[in-house]
Amino acid sequence: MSTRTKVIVGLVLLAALWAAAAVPAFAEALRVTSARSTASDIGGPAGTLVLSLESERRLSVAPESASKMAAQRVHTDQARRDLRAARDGWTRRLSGSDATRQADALLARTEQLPAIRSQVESGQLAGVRAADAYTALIDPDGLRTPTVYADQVGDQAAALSALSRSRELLAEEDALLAAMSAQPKLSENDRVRLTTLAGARRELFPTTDKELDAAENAVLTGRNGAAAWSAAYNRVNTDLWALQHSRTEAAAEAGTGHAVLTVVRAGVVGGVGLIAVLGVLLMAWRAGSAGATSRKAATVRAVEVRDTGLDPLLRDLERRNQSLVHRQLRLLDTLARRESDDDTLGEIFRADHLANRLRRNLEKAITLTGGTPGRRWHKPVPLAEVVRAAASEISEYGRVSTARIEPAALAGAAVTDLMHLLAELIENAATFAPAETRVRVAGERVADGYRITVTDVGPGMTEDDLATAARVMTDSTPPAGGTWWGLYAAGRFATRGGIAVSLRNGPDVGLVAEVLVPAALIGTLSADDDTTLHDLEPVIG
Amino acid sequence: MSLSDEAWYDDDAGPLVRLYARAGGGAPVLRDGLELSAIVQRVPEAVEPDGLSPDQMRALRLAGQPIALSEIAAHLALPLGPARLLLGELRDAGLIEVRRRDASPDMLDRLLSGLNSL
Repeated sequence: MSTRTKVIVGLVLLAALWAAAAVPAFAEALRVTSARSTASDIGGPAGTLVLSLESERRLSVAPESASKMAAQRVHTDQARRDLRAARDGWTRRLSGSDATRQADALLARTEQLPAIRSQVESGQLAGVRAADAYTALIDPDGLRTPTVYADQVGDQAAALSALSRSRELLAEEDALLAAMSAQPKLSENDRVRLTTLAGARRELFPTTDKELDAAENAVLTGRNGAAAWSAAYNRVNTDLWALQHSRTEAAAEAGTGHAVLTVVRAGVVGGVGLIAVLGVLLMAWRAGSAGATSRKAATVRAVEVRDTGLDPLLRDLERRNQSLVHRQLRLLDTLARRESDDDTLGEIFRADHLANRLRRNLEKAITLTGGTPGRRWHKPVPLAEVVRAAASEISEYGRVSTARIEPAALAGAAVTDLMHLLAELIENAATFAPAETRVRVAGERVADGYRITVTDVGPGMTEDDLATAARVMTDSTPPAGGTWWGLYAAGRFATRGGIAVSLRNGPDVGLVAEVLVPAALIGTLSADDDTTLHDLEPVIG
Repeated sequence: MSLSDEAWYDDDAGPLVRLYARAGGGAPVLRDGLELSAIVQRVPEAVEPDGLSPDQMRALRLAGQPIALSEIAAHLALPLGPARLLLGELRDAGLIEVRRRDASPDMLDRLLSGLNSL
C-alpha cells in the first residue's frame, strides 16, 4: 500500500470517527432542544383547549343561556385552531415528541365536537351523558392528561400529571354535580360515582381546602350545598391551574441545565473533532506535496532504524521466544512419558511436533540474523540422530526414510546448522515430490569428510532452476519472493558450517541434494553413542 | 532490558530426536492387544522393508524371539506409550505378531501356590 493510500485511508477513518461521535451528539442536542421548545409552544394552547372543553361541558350539561353557550363554543374553536397552529409550526415537523403526539391525539378527538354539539342542541345528549361525552374528548381512558409532557418537565412529569389529572377530575366532578342538580334527587348511583371521583381526585393531589371539602360533603350527603360548592370549586380550580402552570415552568427551567449541557457537549465534540480533521487534512496535504522526494529517504531511514535500533530488540524477542519454546518442549516430553492413554499421547505428540517446528523457525530466524541458537553441543553427536532430528522438523516427517546412515559423529558446534540445513533440503524434497512418495536420506563417509544425500522422486528441476538455486545458495542477501527462501536459508546454514551443498537431477527422476560435511567436523562414534551397535540379546524368562 | 542469552548444552538441550519421531510416522495405529505384558514376535517370513527407522529395526531384531512389549521398551529406552505406537506400526506392516499368553488354570494354580509360599 502506498503512503498516499495510507494517508487517505487514515483520513477517511478519522472523519468516520468524528462523524460517529458528532452525529449522535448533535442529534441528541437537536432532540432535547426541539422537544423542549415544542412542549412549551404546545403546552399553552393545549391547556387552553382543555379548559375551554371543560367550560363547554359545564354549560352543555345544564344549559343556562344560548348566548353564553355560543360564545363558549367560539372560544373552544379558537383554542382548537391555536393548538393546530402550534402543532403545525415548521420545527414540529422535524421530530416527533411527546407533546406533538398528545396534541395530535387531542385534535383528532375534538373533531367529534360538531357531532356532540348537534346532539346537545337536539336534546339527544344531556345531563351526565353529555358530560361524559366531553370528558371522553379530554381524557378518553381516564388515565392521562393531555397537558403534561415528559420532554418538557423531565422527572417532574409524574407529579405534574397527578396534579393536572386531579384538577381535571375536580372539573368533571363539577360538571356531574351540575348535571345531577337538575334532577330532583341524587340517586345512589350518582352518589357512588361522585364519591369515587372525589376519592380519586384527593388520592392524586390532596387539596387542603376546607370549604371545598365541606361543600363536597354537603352535596354528597344530600344537603343542599350547590352554591357553596360552586364558589369553592371556581377558586380551587383556578388555584390548581395556576399551580400546574408555575410548576411546569419550574420543571422546564430545571431541565434547561441538562439541555444546555447537551448542546454544549455536541458543540465541543463536533467542533473540536472537526478542527482535528481539518488539521490532519492540512498536514496530509503538506506532507503529500513533499512526499514524492522523501519516500526514498524514508526507505533508507527504515533500513537504518532496523540496523541500529530495532534489530537488537527483535533478536532479544526471538531469544525470549526460544526460551519459552524450550520450556514448552521439555514439558511436552514429560507429559508424553507419563501418558498412558493412547489417544491423549497422540494429541501430545501432535503438540510436540508443532512446538518442534516452531523451534525450527525460531532457530532459523536467529541464525539468519547472525545469532547462535540457544541449544548447543560441546560433545560430538551421532550423525544419524542429527539427520533424524532434521527429518522430524518438517510437517510430513513420516515420509522421510533415514535408514542408511553410516555411523559417524558430528562435532557439537555444527549440530544446529547441519540439522536445519538438512531440514530445508528434506522439506524441499517432500514439498515437490508426490505426497505418497518417500524422501530418502543416506549418509556415508567419503575421502574428504561425510556425504549426505537427500533424494526424492519428484519432477526434478530445469537447468535454469538449478542455476538459480546454486546462485541463491551462495548469495548473502535473500532473493525477492518466497520461492527460493528455503534454499537461500540452506545456503546460509551451509556457509556457517563450512559445508558444501549442491543440487542435481537424479539419474531417472527426482532431485538429489548432496551435502558434504568437511572431515574436520566428523569423528568416530564411541561404542556408547552408537545406538545401532549395542543390541543385546533379549533376556527371556 | 538486558539481552537474554540463555543457552542449553548437550543433555540440557534436550533429545535431538523427539519421542513423536521415534514412535513412528504419526499415522493412526491399531493398538488392541498391545498391553504391557503382550508377547510379540517377528513374523518369520516377513521381509524387512526399506525405510524403517533405527528404532523400528532394533525392535524387529529384538523380536526375533518372543519378547514382552515392556522389555522392548526398556531396550529402546522408550516409555511404554511410544513403544506401543512403534510396535503397532510394525504389526500393521505385518512384520510382527502378538502372541497371547493366555493364563491356563495350571499356571494360575502354580501362581497361587507360589504366592502362598511367600
